[in-house]
Amino acid sequence: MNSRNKSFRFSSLPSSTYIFVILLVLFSITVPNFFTPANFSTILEQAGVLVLISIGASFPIMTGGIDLAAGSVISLCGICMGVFLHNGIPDYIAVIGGVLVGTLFGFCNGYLVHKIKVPPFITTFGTMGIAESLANFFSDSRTIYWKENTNVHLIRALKTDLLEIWFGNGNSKLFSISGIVLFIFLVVAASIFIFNKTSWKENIYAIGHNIESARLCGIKVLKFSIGAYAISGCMSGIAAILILVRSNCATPIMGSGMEFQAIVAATIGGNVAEGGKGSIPGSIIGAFAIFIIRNAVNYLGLNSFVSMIITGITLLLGMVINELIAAQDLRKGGVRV
Amino acid sequence: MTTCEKGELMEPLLELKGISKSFPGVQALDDINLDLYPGEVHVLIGENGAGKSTLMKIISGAYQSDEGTMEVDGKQITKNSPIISEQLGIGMIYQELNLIPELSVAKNIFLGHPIKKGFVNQDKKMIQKSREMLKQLNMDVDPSVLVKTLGVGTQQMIEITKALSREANILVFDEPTSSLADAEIHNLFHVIRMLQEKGIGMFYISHRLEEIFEIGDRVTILRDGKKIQTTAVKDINMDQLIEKIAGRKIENLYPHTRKTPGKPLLQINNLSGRAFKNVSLHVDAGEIVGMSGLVGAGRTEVARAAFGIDKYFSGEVILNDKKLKKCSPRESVKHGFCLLPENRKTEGLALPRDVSENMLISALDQTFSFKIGSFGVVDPKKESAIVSQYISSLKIATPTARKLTQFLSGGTQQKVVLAKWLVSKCKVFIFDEPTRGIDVGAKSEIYKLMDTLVEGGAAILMISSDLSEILGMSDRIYVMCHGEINGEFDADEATQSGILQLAFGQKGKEADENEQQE
Amino acid sequence: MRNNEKGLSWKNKVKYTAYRSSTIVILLLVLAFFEIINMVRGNNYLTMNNISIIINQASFLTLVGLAQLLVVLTGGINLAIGSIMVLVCIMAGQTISEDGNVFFLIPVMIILVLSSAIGWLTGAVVTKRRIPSFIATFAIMYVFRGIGWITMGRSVIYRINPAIRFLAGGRLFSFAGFTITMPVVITLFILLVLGFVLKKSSFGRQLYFTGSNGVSSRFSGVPTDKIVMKAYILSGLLCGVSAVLYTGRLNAVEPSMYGNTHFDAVAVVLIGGASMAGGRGDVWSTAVGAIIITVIQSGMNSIQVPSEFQTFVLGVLIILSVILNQNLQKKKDILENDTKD
Repeated sequence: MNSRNKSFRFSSLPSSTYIFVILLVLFSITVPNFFTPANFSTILEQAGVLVLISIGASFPIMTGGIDLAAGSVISLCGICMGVFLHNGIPDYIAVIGGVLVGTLFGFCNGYLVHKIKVPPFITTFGTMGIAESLANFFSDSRTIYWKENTNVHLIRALKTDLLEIWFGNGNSKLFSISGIVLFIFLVVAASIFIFNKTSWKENIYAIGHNIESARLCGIKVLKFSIGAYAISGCMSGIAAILILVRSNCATPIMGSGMEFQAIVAATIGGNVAEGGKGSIPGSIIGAFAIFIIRNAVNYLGLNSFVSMIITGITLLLGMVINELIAAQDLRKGGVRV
Repeated sequence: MTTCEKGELMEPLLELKGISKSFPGVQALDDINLDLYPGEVHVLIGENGAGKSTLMKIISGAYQSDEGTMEVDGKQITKNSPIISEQLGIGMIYQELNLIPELSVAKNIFLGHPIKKGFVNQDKKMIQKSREMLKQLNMDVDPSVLVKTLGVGTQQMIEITKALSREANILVFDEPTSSLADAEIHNLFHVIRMLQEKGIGMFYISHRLEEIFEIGDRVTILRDGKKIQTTAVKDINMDQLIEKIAGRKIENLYPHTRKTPGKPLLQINNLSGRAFKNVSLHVDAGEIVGMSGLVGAGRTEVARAAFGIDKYFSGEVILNDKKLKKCSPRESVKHGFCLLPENRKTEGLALPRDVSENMLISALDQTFSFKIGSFGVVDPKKESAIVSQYISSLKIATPTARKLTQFLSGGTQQKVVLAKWLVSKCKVFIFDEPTRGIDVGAKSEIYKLMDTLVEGGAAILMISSDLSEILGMSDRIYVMCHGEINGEFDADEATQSGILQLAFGQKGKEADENEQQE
Repeated sequence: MRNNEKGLSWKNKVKYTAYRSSTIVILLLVLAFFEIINMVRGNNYLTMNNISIIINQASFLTLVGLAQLLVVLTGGINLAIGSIMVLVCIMAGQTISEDGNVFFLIPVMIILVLSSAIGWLTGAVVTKRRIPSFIATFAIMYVFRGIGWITMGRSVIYRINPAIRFLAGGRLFSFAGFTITMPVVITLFILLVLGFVLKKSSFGRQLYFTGSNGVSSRFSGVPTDKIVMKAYILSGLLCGVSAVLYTGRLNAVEPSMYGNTHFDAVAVVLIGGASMAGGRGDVWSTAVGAIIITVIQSGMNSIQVPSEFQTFVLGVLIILSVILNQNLQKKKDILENDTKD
């Protein structure tokens, strides 16, 4: 029995890679101006929010749970930050406050799921409504604006065009990377780093695989399982920052429905419902896959709801691919664990 | 050189004194004394249900003993738990491996206690250390590879490495070779010998008798929760071993009387599937046919395939001269063929549902007051009539038919499962471990029921790991080993040791004689 | 032997009944709460008129709750409810409006047939491809929403067929200030029929059994795939009924409607005591769940609580009622167990 199975397995790459490549090729062929640096920089900049919450969605899913409240928490964090800014609080404090709110909310979710043992679907279903109504409450159901100068540092920092700064003002702006992109990149890099380089990955996998044997291995199960939800909340907060900066205002429905897109992206990325497997890069690529659908449809000038249809079909396709990849694993041997 | 000779001069790593453990209705362990010396391989052997796994669970801390003491390195352990036992240096290698498939070898080995610098894992160091540890076990695996890509034998080695990485000096192997190929077994033994030289003491539970003689230093035989004997492996031979494993008095709780068999109701011809090959057997009307063999021999797999739960590759199943065309439970039930599964709680009943629902689920058409096509309206009067009829005829111990089956005792649950099939008017039954987890009183009731069934012309195939049950109830006995039928006995010629020999993979005495003649 | 003992002390009997009807207990508590607050303010909350309005309102919620219940009983969830409702109306097109000038049964039939077909499709995806219901129904929701938008664009269909509008709101008769409307009658009828089917038919028995333990069901010869399939078809059919009534009430069809209906349906089902794991829940508790939600909404309106806060209360209520149900379930089980020996 050859224990050194070096042949290529489709499962070595996150499943969303294949979907992304298929979509990329499809759109590059059919959509004019798709495969251009200008478009790519647009994609990079705008997909950020989805990327962030997809990362956030991955953690609870990997532990075998789910976070339906993520979108509403974005609204809540955004409103909190908006209220702070409106009242003249300097931007960096407001931002930290908002993220803290998100993290705390996520912690409460995790507590309800793992300490009080309410099933994750029901918990986050309930807290989704709670977060949404809190957002409405704090904002009086209105859009919140603030004076320009309170967050000028933040806006300036995030909106600057870095490449332009670094390479001087070129005549033709081929490719631009704004501060936002850098910011997202930093957050993403930090998440991947923390996930892979500290014990998060193996402990979360172990918890998702079999929570009891994880406990027997000496893993602090509560810390990581509740932490997974806290991270989801934290990511919602960070995503809220981005939306805030881009739209220069905060509305109580700014995150509505985003949790589903995040879950779809994460699922396509291999973070399946039973937990114990999956990856952060998978979710990121999944987020991009979903995003380029919207992007391509816009370019084609089609009704934006065409993207809904394509996304739905992509999701189903993604599940089928997940299944096929798992079957290949089974065939290629090993996996008796 | 055995360590027993050295052993007299050394302190035991582990000592169990007077360990007893009972569960409702059954005494799992009775006054067990056991010890383990450094560098020895101490084999534990016994039938299914002899108490080996309970003993292991006590050592690992998953169970607490009712009486008795446990000492590790001379210190008495007052409270044990899986985490404590690990800290004491006890490493368990279970049959169902405990690795995370989507993580790398190194990460699995260091699961729960990674090498860190501050917050950051030192992956390179863990990989390197894993590689070293694996090399010591003669394994040339790349530690950065995902566990799921590796074969079972390799995974087991990783499990061993994992235990060793926690500085275990006592290892407990539970059926380590049951899924290994010969080459992997060879490697395992090589590793075990290396560990012996390091002074690590090992308990080794196995059904494979040849292995005992190859790798064991001492052997302890358990039977019915009692220790029969501990002896040096060199002081005993195969036949004596089997005698001691089996040799109990067969009590007379088996009311079965032999009937004249009628025509074959169940015929399985050359059935081959994932876990079994070329299985052929038949059960005639009026017969109880026993199916014996060790755990993992493939008996349940054959039953599931024949009944239609799992797909099989080739062969046929014939019921009352009609070949089963579709491989599905529904089809089988239509032909009057049913299975009482091994795991009655998860596969035989829906625990959250009550007695009445469980009993009628396979035969709802009998409760219809009227029907349109296959949509039928259930008549509660008919329901309760049928249900009370069977509750009384099977003496099912439940106050009402509305009681949820999860609250019934094991024996009562089994009766409900049987009732379900009786309501469906089945004539061919496969009972898989019919009396497992059932107390003595209920056991004899079930035996009486089985006897009554075959008296009425039914055919029963009874899979059991309880030898006395097999010998007491069967008219004929098939013995399976390694996925094949290794032999067949008529009730008159069957003996415990005869069955065990075939079950353990020995050829029958007849076959031996034939070989000698050749 | 205690084979025939049914004895429960009367105190335990009361407890037992309370545990079983936890949903009604919640309803009574909620009603009492609002009544008291209103009395304190000098308002009259529980007037016959108000009650009629509540019951009328609740009947709509009940219908979508039942559509969800059927899928939840199999252990799944149906996220496509709202989008199915809107799509079938869109596909019925002009036949549904007054301008179409067709006998009202035609659009109704179209809607019911289409919605059942979609139910069939959903069931096929779940059973044949083994895709979890969450993902499958989510994908279907997305696809159908998209199709709906593309088909209709920004246009709206107004002036729904008056017969359909009557179905959705026509008053039938009143007594003692209490008015009975068509939707109430329709919902009641469906409750009776569905309740009958679930509790008294072979399909119902098999459905509950499959939801409780799919493996045992299969091993007992139940055609589990077919049963789950039928559950989804029924769910689709109920979506169609809901579509007719909701659209009749709103008097319009446009693609953005019913965006949150699937969630409302889950809320109804959860407060009604069903279990997301399958095998537990019944039509009447679901109806009570719908009434509870409606009471809370109307109660809050009566004391002028803003609607955002209502979502808050609902969220808290769902979590609390699940915790409550779990605890009561345990207590009920212990009580049953004690009577055994």
